[in-house]
Amino acid sequence: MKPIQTPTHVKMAGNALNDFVNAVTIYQGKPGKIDRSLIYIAAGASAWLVLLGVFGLWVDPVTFGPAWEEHRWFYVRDQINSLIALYHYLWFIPLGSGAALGATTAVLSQVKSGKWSRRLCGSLPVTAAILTLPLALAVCGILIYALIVATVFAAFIALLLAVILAALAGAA
Amino acid sequence: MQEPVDSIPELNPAVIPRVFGNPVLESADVAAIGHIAGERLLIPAERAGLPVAPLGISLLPSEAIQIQAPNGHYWCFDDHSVDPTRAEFGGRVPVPAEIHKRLHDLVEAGVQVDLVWTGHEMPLSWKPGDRMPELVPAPVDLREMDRRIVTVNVNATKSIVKSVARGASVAGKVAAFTVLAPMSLASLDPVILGGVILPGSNLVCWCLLAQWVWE
Repeated sequence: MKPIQTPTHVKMAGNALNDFVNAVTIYQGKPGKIDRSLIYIAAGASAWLVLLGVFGLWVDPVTFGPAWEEHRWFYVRDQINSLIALYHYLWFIPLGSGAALGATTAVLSQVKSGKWSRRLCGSLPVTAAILTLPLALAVCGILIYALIVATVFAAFIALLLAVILAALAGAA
Repeated sequence: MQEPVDSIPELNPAVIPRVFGNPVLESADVAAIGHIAGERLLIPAERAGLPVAPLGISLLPSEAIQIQAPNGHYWCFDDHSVDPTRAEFGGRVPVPAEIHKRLHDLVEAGVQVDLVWTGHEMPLSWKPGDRMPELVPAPVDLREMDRRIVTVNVNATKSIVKSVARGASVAGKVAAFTVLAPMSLASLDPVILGGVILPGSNLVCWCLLAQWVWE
């Protein structure tokens, strides 16, 4: 038989159950670090800002050319644009998402206890999934924006080169 | 929300010696510890209408026990004072209301034990040395909401990402979210064991005080 090795946390007084009962709490929902309602609001706000940016990009004449201005949807765009006047701020896509996500993170980090926290339930996969949508939209926005900028810049360089070459040819 | 169950499929008297050690028992010791366990635990509980199941006699454990059940899941046993769920609940061990009442009733009935150990079933992917996972699942209603949100978000993200970037690398990240999401929905089963020590020895008679399934 092994020698007696009583762990330091073992109490021999026979009151372990009493100690345990005093240490339990009734499960009323998982206290988490994340307020779901805030998540939903932040996710919605992020998605809305992103959609504004995407909408602004989609209806922008730069993308589709002057003919677009004669399309009936352009009138809709124009009306909405007159209300929000944000369509040309393409940087709202990454900036809006980033700000909303940052604000969400900041708020959530402050929510740690209290009555609300009984309804809070933070699991990383859910949070990640919720934040994935606006984040993916933001990434898409950045990619599209970068593509447009690169295209315009390349066109500008090509035009400049053409002018220079034409000038050189003319001079020759 | 949570319902106590009558038996632990993967934990029964035959398993206890394997979990806590299989001592060489003398009949006098068995009789003595059986008498003490009956006097301090089994009889008071029975009188109060709260029967507890004796699980067997083992050596006094000197450290946490981690053992793999036949279904592949590891179980982690340790003293309640170092229960891993305490970290998530402000230093307290979360139990369903029915279990809370049962434990209080056992105390009121005069049950006295020397050891209270908690056992937790680990996720199938967990191995000794891994970081302790979250053992208490979210409430059922929130988990259902999670499931729907995860499904909607993952599908929407997949569509958006695929439509913009057709590269495999981005789609792969979305797939990772899909795999990750179900992890939060798993439910794991805890047990609470009470142990009575035979004075002057390192023998412990274990009984099942409570168990439940997180649903």
